[in-house]
Amino acid sequence: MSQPGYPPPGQSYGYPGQQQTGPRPMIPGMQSQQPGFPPSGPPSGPPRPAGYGPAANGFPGAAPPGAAMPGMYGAAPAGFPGAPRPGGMPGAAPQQPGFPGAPRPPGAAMPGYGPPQPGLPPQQQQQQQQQQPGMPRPVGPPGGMPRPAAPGMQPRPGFGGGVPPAGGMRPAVPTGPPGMARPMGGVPQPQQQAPQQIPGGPLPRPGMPGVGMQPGGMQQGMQQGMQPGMQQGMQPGIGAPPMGLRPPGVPGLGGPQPGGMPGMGYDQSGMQAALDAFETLSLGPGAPTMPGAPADGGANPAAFPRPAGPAAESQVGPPQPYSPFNCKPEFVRMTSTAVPNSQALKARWHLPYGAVVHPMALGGGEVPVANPSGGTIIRCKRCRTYMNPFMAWMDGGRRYSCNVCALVNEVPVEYFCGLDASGRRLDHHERPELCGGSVEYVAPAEYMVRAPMPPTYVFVIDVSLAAAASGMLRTACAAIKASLDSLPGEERAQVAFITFDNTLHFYNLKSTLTSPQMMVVAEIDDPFVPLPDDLLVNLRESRAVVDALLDSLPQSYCRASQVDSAMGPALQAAFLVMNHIGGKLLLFQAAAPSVGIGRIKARDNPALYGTDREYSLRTPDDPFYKRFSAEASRFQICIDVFAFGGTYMDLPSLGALPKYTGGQLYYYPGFQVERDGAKLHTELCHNLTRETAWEAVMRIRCSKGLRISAFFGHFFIRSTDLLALPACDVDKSFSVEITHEETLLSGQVAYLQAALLYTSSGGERRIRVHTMALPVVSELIDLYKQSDAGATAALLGKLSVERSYSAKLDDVRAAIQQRLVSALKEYRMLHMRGAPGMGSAMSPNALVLPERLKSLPLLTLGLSKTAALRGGGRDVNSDERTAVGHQMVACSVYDMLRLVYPSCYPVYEPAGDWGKEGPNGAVVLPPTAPAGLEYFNPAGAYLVDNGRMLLMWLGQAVPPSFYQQVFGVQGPPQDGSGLNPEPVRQGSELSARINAVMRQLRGIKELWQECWVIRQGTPMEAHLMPYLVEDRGAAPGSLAYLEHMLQLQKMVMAK
Amino acid sequence: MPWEVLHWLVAFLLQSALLGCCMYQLIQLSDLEADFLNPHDAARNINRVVLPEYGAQAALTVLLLGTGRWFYGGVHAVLLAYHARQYLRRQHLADVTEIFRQVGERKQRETLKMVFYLLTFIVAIYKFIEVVVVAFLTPAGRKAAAKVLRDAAAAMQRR
Repeated sequence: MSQPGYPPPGQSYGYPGQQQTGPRPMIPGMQSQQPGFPPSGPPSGPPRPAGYGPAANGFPGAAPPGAAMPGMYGAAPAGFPGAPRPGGMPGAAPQQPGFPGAPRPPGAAMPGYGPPQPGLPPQQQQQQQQQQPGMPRPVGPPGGMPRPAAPGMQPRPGFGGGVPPAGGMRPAVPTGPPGMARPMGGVPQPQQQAPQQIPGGPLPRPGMPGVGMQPGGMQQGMQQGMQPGMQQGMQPGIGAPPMGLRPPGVPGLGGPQPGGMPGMGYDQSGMQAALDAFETLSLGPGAPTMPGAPADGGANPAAFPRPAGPAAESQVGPPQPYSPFNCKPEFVRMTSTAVPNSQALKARWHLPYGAVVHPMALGGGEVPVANPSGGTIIRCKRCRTYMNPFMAWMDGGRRYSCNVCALVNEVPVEYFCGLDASGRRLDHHERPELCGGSVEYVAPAEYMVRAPMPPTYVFVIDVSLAAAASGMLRTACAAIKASLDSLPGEERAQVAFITFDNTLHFYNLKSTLTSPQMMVVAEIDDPFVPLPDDLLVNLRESRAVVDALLDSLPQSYCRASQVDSAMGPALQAAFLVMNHIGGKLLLFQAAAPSVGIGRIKARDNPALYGTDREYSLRTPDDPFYKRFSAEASRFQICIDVFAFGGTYMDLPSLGALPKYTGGQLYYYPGFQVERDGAKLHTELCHNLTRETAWEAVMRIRCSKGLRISAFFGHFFIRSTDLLALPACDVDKSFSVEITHEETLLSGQVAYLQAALLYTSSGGERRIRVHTMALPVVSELIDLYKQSDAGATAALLGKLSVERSYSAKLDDVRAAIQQRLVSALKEYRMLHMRGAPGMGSAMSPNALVLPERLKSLPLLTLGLSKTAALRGGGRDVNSDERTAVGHQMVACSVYDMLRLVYPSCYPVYEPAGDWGKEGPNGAVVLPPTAPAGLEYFNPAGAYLVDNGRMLLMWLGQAVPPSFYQQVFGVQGPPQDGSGLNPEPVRQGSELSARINAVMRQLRGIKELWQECWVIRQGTPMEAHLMPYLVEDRGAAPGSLAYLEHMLQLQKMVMAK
Repeated sequence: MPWEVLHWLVAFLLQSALLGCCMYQLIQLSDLEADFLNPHDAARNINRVVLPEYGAQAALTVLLLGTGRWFYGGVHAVLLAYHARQYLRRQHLADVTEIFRQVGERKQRETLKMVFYLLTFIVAIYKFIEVVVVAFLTPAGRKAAAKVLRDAAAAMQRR
């Protein structure tokens, strides 16, 4: 503790005198606005590589045009004599001037010192507790809440000022393809519970003595044992409680086997049984003083519900399906798998009601093909619903009644089959469409407006100075080249390449040429295509030329001097090249577009936050972007944008391109090949080789009386309920909100059917149909019982991001909170009304959480802390906000949950078999720890995964042997150099296991997580803070979990 | 007096044009809702008339205020201010990507505007007829009217 030269502990948490003197590794997109951490870049811009400026200066602007490029000859069209082609350059600088390899922050590192952090100081907690009765209802930032002096960071006694150990982060350079099969389904269920050493109390376990027993205290899990005579109504997987929403005699259900539906059979009279599902959470005024001391009946945040630990999946997973014929939850997840029977009931369900549809989900497994030989497709005549297991057969099998609109249809002769005694078709086992919720049809010619298109990829690559300097061009070309062999569509795939700086360069890739022929168009106001054919070529035929081009591109432009980037004209040109066929347009944009149409202005102005114009920072500035993407969507062009800028590049504008064309926005702030190369390579390869549905449209139908009121995702709405998706891949999901069109629903079962009509990469027109049956219920409690916290949080997140495009962030966050409060109020009223006896057992100010939604408060807290919705202008720059927002709107429930509540895997315990291959071939993951610093063992190492990056946190007391085993160094580096857990260190089992876990987490998915190592007590730790959602964040008004619950309780109690 | 007749004639014509623009937009929006029209065409058609409508409305306001019809002009000035606000916020044009999200709101707005135009249209047509009649109620006017009628009768006779 008392090392000479270091001030004693207890000083303010700041680093006086710390100056960054060199390039400092930054986690992309984060800003260090924490008090005490000097920001390393411009306040509103993402980190910028320090060597960038000098690099720009290193190029004298006088480059003689006309120098031939290696491997090509500049064939400027006759009409454009002046098309200059800066090729070779005198005195050219080395390839990456000003880029010192992997940046190494200076500063002496020191071995960890200081005691473990005890979390919130007790006095502070007590203060909050005492403040709460009679306090005015907080609105917005809780000004009334006493806050510790240093917002954002919990003061950590024992870690004083002085020269801090800097660094500790280093880009992780992976070796080998990071691809392990992602486990089927949701969160990988850890098989093994490693003993957890968490200061501040153990993880909550249902029925844990001392946690659930205190009246008025935290009653964790079910109230079993506390309330005599209560049954376990909702605990998933426990017995078969009497809870059934199955109406008798539903036609078409095909007599589901009773054993197939556990958890059904709810006895309506048993309101008491229903109420067993309650969980009360008391945060009374007589409360808690010490964290980790639940025995005195106080609020112990350690015992709060959270989707962490071994039971994580049961907290946020989908409920039992209503029918065994429903499609898998991987494909469609409802926020509640029950439908309110009236508008009035729906109005009392204050949370968003809808579904997250993930039509191509990998986790759903193979979808059977119903008519492999291309037979007729049976659909309802009126509502066009596809044949599904829920159709009711009548008349001996000659007619059927549509389950969605109840119209009686004739069965075509060739489809006729007799019925058995229970009214099922005799052949229902043989027909995939009759025995499964997900099915695929081969569509006949009437489902085509033209011949199925071949997979088409047009690469539009920025080759201006920034592209070459950052190494982006080299990496992208290498990744494209590596993917060419596995592009979907095999011999049908077509490719074209366009590069641009302040001019446009086209490449003639005709198969008879030996090397590509370049044509330069300098006209950017009205771009045109210099050659009618041979720009877009069949990959198989022109493979040699394409390879030659990809090899020569990085060399040709490695000495580029042109800083301008004519992105808009390049897009227009690409549009002209591909609009007769459609396909995917991949845009690689190294810096902000600066010339031609669509050039952007530096308009990121944090001063606009809090004003009525705030939303304009998050919406496209130039109408060109929306117009262009609408046109692209019309011509079946899907745009993926890869943005690499180190400074503001107006992603809110660029983001409109993927948003309306079914694409995605990839963001690599301040791209440096040493740091981000692997990420770009993996993500680009995955983008190019994943299964993709082309020229798709999706329609979601629901039963009469229900209507889809809003869609969220990346698509263009072509008609009221038709989504146009120029391309739809395995990573895209679409969410809908469902409203009631009629005051009262008539039937007892409602249905939802999502149908995706697409062209497969193999050139087949296909229809993928997912059908789901949902019980119609008349009691609010049934809605809560069938609710899905994961889907609810995901839908809430998606609609909040969408709302942030037209409203202030403060309002968006307040709206999230308000919905949650309304729902909990309603639930509390239900609780009070339904069970007068329970009221006494429960302390009057207990916060009642629905069992299935008990982690929702934490998830909404996490939502408001995501980069898309967090803080104000100074907390997250608008580029990062947009990138995360785009991911949130399009991602699956699983990815959303990981983003909202990052998984923290303890990776230091030798016990358990985490990191080893499990029985199903997947690597076993350790049970997660709560995402809060106080739960982290200072002698441990944690891998924090939010789906965008992996952060490895090392406690101060980590033994040197850990460094030796995992990083191959003797101890914490003294010189501030970075650490990297990859590759696997020879002879170290721990290293092998950690690498296996990382491989498993990276899996096969859209984004690949870079790994950053953060040592406790280094300034780098600030970058971890936003992901520890249970701690108080840096932004004003950002609450810790306990504070959030207290605020929630106050708002719920308020009249 | 003929100037006044001219003013009201122009006002009447502008009002009918505004009413026409408004109804056209409403028809496009309901066609879009009923799936008779794709969003690309609907947005293009709507956007084609938005600026002419704004221009005509501005011209009408200037005309009314310039000729001292303070109340009538004032009412239109309110709408003009609204139009100016929409224009400055660049919310005047239909956004093809968002049109389905906006269709309800836009329809409501257009309906309100149409009611407004209809009312002011009635005022304009009333005033127009009134000035025409009043113009001919003066002694000179009667003479002029009588002459017009006589000429007309003579023309009829001649044929």
